[in-house]
This record gives sequence, structure tokens and C-alpha cells, in this order.
Amino acid sequence: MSAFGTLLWLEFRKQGTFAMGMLMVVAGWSLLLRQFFAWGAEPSIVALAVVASTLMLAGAVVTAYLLWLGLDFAREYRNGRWALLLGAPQPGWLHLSARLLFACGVLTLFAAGMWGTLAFWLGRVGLEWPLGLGLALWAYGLGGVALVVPVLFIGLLVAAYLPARADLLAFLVGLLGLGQLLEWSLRLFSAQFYRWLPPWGLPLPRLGEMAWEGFPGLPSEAFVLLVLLCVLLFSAMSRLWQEVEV
Amino acid sequence: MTVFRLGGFELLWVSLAFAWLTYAGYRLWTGTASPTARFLSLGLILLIAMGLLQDLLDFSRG
Repeated sequence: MSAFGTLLWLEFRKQGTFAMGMLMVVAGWSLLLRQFFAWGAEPSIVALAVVASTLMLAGAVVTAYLLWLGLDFAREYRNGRWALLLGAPQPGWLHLSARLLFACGVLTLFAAGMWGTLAFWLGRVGLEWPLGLGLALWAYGLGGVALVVPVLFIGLLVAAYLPARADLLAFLVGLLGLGQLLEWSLRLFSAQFYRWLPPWGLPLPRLGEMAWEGFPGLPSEAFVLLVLLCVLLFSAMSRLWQEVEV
Repeated sequence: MTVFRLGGFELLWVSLAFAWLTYAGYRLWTGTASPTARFLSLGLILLIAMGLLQDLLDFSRG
């Protein structure tokens, strides 16, 4: 078995229970949604209740998963497993990409399940729930995984300064510096890049003759900025991983 | 509109901030064996100093 396969298997052993829990939430929610239709309210009211409650639930579950991911890094660190991981012969980016890929896979499965549930039950009241809208919400959910990258970046930067006892200083500089990085890239983006990017129009759900009018669509430049910053921080992070001694 | 004046009190705080940044730069440059961390922290400190200067310019423009 290749190193990457082994790492993915380890991630499955660690995150598998939580991921199964998330898929169970999807299954339970698809059964619970039946109850909205037992009320016998108007189709538009039922559709609104179904969409709003599903989005709220999905947001809560995704947030819980991201928190769990962050806590798991902290737990590994406390248990002294970082010294073992950092000394492993596999390169750092392989460890990191196995974990992030697994997290993206779990979130994709979850989003697909939630989208299937919504599309199935909304079809019962004659509401079309387009695939593109589900894809857009999924992309925003994956954006949450990107939050793990700067946190890990600061963590590894701090770890590089543990032997010299400059960890608090490194943490402060990392926090302030990342804030500055974000501010300068937002400045550059708003001054230069914004006009080059196409607006991202969303396909809107339709209920019979009703449709949302004048919905502005989602901004796309946030994704470009997110991807650029993530690639930058990820490469810095994997180099740090190679050099840090714990 | 209030115009920000760069008086003695402000200069004191700004120079304290720059002195702290210099100290942090020295500690972070010498405090690790990892070249990536060394140059990354130098870059972050330069970014912070640049942001501080930008704020100063914005403020004194009024």
C-alpha cells in the first residue's frame, strides 16, 4: 500500500466515527422532513420551512465538524503525537493533504446527501431545486475547510519557536501578520482584480410561477482569493513541517 | 472632520510599536533552526510594519 493510501486509511480510522455520524444526520433528517408535509400548510410555506431548517442544520453540522477537526489537531499535539508525525519519513504536504482531502470528501458526501434530501422532498411540493445552487452552497461549505490552513500555519510557525521559548512572540507575529496579509490582499483585490472576474450568477429555485427576482448572485472573487492564499500558506506550511523540531 | 496630529504622545506609541517589532524580528530571526520559519517571520514582521506605516500615512492625511 502506498504512503498516501496508508495516511488516508489512518484518517478514516480517526475521523470515520464523526463522518458516519454526519451521514446518519442526513438519513435521520430525510425521514424527519416528512413531518413538514404532515402539517398540510401551503406548499410555499412548507418549502420555506424545509429549506431554512435544512440550511441551518447543515451549517451547524459543518461548523461542528470543523471545530472537531481543530480540536483533533490540539489533542494530537497534547498527546505528543506531533513529534512522531514530524519525524515521519513522508513529506509534510502528504500528511496535510491526506487530512484535508479526507475532510473535503466528508463534507462533499454530507453536502450531496443534504442536496439529495432537499431535492427529493421539495420535488413533492413542485419546487425545483437546481443542482447549481447545491454546488454553490457546497463550495461555500468547503471554504470552511480552508480555515484549517491558516490555523495550522500559525501552529507550525509557533512549533518552530518552541525550543527557543519564543512561541508567544511567534504566535502574536503570526496572528498580526496573517491579518495584514488578508488586509493587503483585500486591498489589491478591490483595487485591481475585482473588475477582471466574472460575476457568478446563481440558478434560482422555482415554485410554479414564483421565482426570486433580482437575486444578486454570489461573489466569486472571494474564492479566487481563498484559493490563492491557501496555496501560498499550504506550501509554506509543508516546508515548515519538514524543518520543525519538536 | 478631526485631523490627526502626530504629536509627542503618538510618536511615543508608534516608536514603541516599532521597537517591539524590531525586538520580535531579532528574536524570531535568531530563535529557530528552520530557514523557512526565519524568512516567513521576517516577511510577516515587514507586512506588519508596512501596515503600521500605511495607517500612519492615512491618519496624518486627515
